[in-house]
Amino acid sequence: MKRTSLLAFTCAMALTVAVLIAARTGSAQSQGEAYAIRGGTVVTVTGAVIQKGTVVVRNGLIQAVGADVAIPGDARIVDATGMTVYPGLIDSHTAYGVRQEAPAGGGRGGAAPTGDPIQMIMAQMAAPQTSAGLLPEVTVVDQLQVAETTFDQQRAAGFTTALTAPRTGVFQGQSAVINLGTDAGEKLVLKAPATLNISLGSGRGFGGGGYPGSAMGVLAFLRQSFLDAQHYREQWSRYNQNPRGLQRPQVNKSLAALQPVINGQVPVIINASSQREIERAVNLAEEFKLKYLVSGATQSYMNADWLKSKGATVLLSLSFPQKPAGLDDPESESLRTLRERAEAPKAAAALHKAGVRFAFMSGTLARPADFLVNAARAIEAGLPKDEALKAMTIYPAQIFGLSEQLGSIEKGKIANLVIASGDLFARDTKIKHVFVDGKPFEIKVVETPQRPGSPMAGGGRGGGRPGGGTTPPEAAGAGLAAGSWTLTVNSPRGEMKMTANLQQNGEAITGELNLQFGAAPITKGSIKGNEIELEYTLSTPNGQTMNGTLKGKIDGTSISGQMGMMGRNSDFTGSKTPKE
Amino acid sequence: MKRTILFFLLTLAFGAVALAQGNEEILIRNATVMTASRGTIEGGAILIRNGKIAAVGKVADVKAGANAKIIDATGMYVTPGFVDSHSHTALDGTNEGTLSNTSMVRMGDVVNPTDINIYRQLAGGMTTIHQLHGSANAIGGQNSIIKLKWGKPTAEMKVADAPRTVKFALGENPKRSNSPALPGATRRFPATRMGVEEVIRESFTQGREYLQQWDAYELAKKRGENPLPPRRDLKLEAMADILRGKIDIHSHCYRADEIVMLMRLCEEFGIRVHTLQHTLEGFKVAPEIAKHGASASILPDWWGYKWEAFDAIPFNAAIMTRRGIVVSIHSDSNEHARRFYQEAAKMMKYGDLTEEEALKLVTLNPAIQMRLEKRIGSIDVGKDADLVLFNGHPFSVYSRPEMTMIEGEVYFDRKQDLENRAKLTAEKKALIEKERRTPGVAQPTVQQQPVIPTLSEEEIDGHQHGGPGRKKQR
Repeated sequence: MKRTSLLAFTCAMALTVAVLIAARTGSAQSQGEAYAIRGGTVVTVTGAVIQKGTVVVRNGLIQAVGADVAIPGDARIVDATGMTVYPGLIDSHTAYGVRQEAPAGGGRGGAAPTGDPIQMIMAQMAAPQTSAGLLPEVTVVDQLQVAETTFDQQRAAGFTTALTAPRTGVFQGQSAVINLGTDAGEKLVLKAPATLNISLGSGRGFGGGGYPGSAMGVLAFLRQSFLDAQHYREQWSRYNQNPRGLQRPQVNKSLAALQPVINGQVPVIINASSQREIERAVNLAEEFKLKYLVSGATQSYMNADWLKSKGATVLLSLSFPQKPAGLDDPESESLRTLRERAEAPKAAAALHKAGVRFAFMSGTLARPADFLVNAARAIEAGLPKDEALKAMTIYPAQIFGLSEQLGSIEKGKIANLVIASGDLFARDTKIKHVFVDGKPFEIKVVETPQRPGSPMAGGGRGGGRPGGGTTPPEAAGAGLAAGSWTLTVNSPRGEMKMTANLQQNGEAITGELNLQFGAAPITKGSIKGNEIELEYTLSTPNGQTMNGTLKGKIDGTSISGQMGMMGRNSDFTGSKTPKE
Repeated sequence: MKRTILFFLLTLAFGAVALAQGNEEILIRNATVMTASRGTIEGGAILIRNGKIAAVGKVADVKAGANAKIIDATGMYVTPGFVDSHSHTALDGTNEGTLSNTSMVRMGDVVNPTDINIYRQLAGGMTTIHQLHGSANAIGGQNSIIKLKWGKPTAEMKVADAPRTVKFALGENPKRSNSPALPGATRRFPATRMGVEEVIRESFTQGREYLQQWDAYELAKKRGENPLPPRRDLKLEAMADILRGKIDIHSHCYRADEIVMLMRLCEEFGIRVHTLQHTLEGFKVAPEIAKHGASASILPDWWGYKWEAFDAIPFNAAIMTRRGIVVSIHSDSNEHARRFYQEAAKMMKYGDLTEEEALKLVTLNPAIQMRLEKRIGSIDVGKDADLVLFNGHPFSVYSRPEMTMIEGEVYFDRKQDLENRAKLTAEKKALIEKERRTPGVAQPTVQQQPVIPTLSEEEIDGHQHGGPGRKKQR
């Protein structure tokens, strides 16, 4: 309810009618299409700022840039007077545009229900062992699925380029750097494979999920994979030098895919958030002499100097830790947790001060607009503003080997541009126009982070300041169920906590449950009087899904009832998180 | 008495920084020094130089330089830092339980130097722990040995010259007796004690073949040939190193029959079980264990929490000690590890071990089992200055550690801890207040790859450490 009521589709009306038509029909891609953006402050990033500059775009490339540039007769004019022109922003690690793989296999038919959710999730993980998540040859390019509206939110926040890869598995896939346009996936690709993405998470869980099922298992698995790749290289190099009299080695897709990685041609991205995970990531990469990027690095404020001594490059997450919703007693959080929340925005400044090369990435942020909100917090915490801009333009372009094409406003580079109403990091700045591959886009704003009480922002981002963890204001007319709930389930294995974010529209309920193992979107929900009934689907880490039910009675801000999964029910109680 | 303690604590508060810088001398004097190797010295003194014990003896016999920091320990007892030969503290995982042999995994890869249990155990005098893989499979992972240098990065906690060790497990845990197969899932082999033996025998056999492969390769190289090296297999490499005697076996075991089985199996392959872990029925086969040459690390007085634990008796430590076996007591528990010395004290009650024999159970003997007896485990010249200062006799329930040092550096100091509490409380209040003033807006996030919890050792083993269900003695 809250979210849907906030949905606001607005058009940036500053574009000429002609430009709008061009954008809608996609004819901007045709041969010779030219635009001249004139009158704005041009922040080139790599050169000086040009006051009242002009940028000429043709055939998807920047044809000219300067204060005194001749505007071709056939160019469509975009008047940027009073506005600021930036290179298109780059998000250096996302899962944008990656198709969700269909659940594999279909699970084990007739699995006996045993009761509590954890048991059931584990049962799901005990499903037939597959090599999903362990295959370095999986490429993102094969999984791209881009529709007209896929990247609306990203463009509305000024993003024109992103590195993308799935978020699951140990080997998460060979990533691609793509432009955030509307073309078919392949046409958007700037570089693939850009990196091989690796997670050091706990693998596939204990029990039947298959090896590796623990943090140490994942490291052993990775070590063995790289050793095998080295052996494969040796085998084939000997054979290729002198095949006569030698048995032909067997081709292996996985080990072949690791060759450019162990040879240093394709870097690995290793996800690592805490200080110790960062150390593990760097140690592993050094052990096998890999080119590497540490992604996440939330606690890098603790070991920035060490990272510098290692010559590490960081893709720094702008998804800062947040106060959990519905926290009754602020004292219940540990000092360590509070410190981590207070320190996280300082990481960028610490890396800059230590001289560590880094680029920003959105991490787990669901709304691209929050990227700039949080970048502004990093600036408040001591990062120079021009460095913040570089960390989302030219630095990621350099890190991914794309600085000849991307990251600044220079002649010959790809015409990825952002035209903002003012300073990119100022709270009330709005993104007016975005060019991707020389094609102008109207800005559609779906939802903006909003400070309670402040006016709705149209075409830009709101002034939301993250980290506090309060929920957005509830829309008028919301019903009994709407809101954020904390639930405690009495499962046979002990108490389990979960949260539910519910929206109510008449008798219909939408939203999702957040279980220990992931989010479970509500597939069907209703409320009659004070009796609520929900059906939801939980996706397990190996891509399986499970359906569950919730039936309960709401009494003011309390709820109680039964949750069911696979035919067994557990009692639960809960309460609504008070609004601010 | 009170004033002298206060004096020494003040000395500490101001001297802590200086103590940390190697090249100085520290003199602890007027203490009752329980050496764990050469008896107890009343009116004793310990001189520490560069983190090592430089001298120990009567106050009059120990001379320090003019610049030495003096700690007046009048009325206090000093013991060696405690050594836990079986711990799962400070690890980001316990079991890689997916396969029956996971000798390729290394606990040293997943040390968590920020685990608060490190500090809590320091407050109980613990200084060195053997971080074991769990007991979910017949052959678990390679273990890790760290000193509890709270605040230091992992690399500084690891004991550099520590031996390599591996966890084995016998009985109900590796055969999954107490963890029914997940619904619809195939049961992991093995499901019986015969199967556990078979897994180990098969793994040794594979390790031997692997070893031969590499020997043949080295031989060919020596002949001047240029052969393709065999594929490195980290699992078999570990098995080969076990057979070469380069990795010590520490095996979880309960019953007498399986203890004898493992010793015979190892003898068949020309090796020795280095340390039996838990060893509940060790007293039944003490002569056999002594003959084989294994040491035994035990749970002091736990029984009856599962079938294979029914025959345990608290006289186990004394009986095996009298048979000449090097016995240690281990915690296997974050909770017990905080008052480890009291576990040792019980062994004077059950079986009449002497005071020093009891102290050895948690100091020198576990150090021997971890092959670190030349560095730690007793208060002897040349050893690391890992020391605990108690305000009374360590075997009294009324005593508590006032200070714990590792290599001459103070890592726990009760006085400082109490002082810090006010500061930390104020810091926490300030952070909460700051967040309250700037509440902001929640930013929705997408689901990260969930971290699947691995089963803890307590869940697998069923000995609910310190929990309400503990010691339901039947």
